[in-house]
Amino acid sequence: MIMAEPVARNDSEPSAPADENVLVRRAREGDLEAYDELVQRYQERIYATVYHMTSNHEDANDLAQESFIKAFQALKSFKGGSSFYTWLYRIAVNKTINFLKQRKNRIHMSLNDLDFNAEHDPDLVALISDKTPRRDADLTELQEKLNAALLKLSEPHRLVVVLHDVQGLSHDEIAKVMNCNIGTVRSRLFYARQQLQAWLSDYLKPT
Amino acid sequence: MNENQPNFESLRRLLALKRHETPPPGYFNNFSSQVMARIRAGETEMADGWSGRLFASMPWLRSALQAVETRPVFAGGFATALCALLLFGAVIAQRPDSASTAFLQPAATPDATSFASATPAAQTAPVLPANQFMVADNSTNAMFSSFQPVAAASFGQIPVGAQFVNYSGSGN
Repeated sequence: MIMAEPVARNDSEPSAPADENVLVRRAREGDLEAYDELVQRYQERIYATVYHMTSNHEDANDLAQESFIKAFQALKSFKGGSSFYTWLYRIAVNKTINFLKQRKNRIHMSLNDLDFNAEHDPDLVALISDKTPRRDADLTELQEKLNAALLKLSEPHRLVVVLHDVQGLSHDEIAKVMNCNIGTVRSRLFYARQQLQAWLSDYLKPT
Repeated sequence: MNENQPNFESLRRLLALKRHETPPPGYFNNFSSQVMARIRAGETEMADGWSGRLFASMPWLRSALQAVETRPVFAGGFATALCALLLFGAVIAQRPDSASTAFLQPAATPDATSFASATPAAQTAPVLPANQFMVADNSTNAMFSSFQPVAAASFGQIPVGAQFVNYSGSGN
């Protein structure tokens, strides 16, 4: 299973079907079954975002659950100005950033295993081919180095990379989630990529 | 500053590795049930506890707390109002001519010696000199010292000063 495959989406046309508004309205009235359906719909994306930000499965599990609980408690304040999933993302992202600020000096990676498809991904196979400067690097080592490099980025820069390059959100969606303008998203993305490229140069195929 | 510059292509491929990091098998099968169980447990706790009874009797309080929790503007406004209130209180308390200070002080603090000379009783009965009468003036007990004149004024018609009595023997 590939987690949170990037899908080209925009905010005016969320991936959720039209009944999302109905589910949100029912959940706001206290219908737990409706909220259960919303949780199932977004659990993978929310978990993936938090996991890629923390590089820790246990933390991601706690934060993702707490994000859904907080969203349920705050559902009455959701006015529908943005889509439900943008609002939910915002809650999860704020919660994660607050958590990361608190544990600033206690970074501990607890990485999930790579799935079976990783070894057959043509992009990754190309990375560990004989053209890669570090030929002895295997996928697990790459995974650790990549996560360590991501953790060196500041939270806003890491978030932009995770949401765009890993989760596949558009600049517009990221701007709404982060409550900033698109120009800021673009500049953060550019800077973050530059940083990552410098730190991971040994593992990147020269272009 | 085009983000699609070709020199990031290799990095983009490496970042694709992140999408292959997956939680343990079956993890998402129980995720939503755990969330819903925690929500139900929280609701039960809220309904049973003192906070639940409080919110039930004052539903606007829950809305206000949720607004403060979800909208930073409300939290900031509340904090600003609180700071303003504290500052106002501090300024009022430090003003020497404030009403509260005047209220706490006695209406009149007559001088002991002038009081002694002004009362009719003082003209007939010998009264101790001021330094003997106002024993508490040398005391560090501010409360006693400040209340002494008030007590004396209450007994304005009755001389409370000590009188010298001669106990000299009469031939025993």
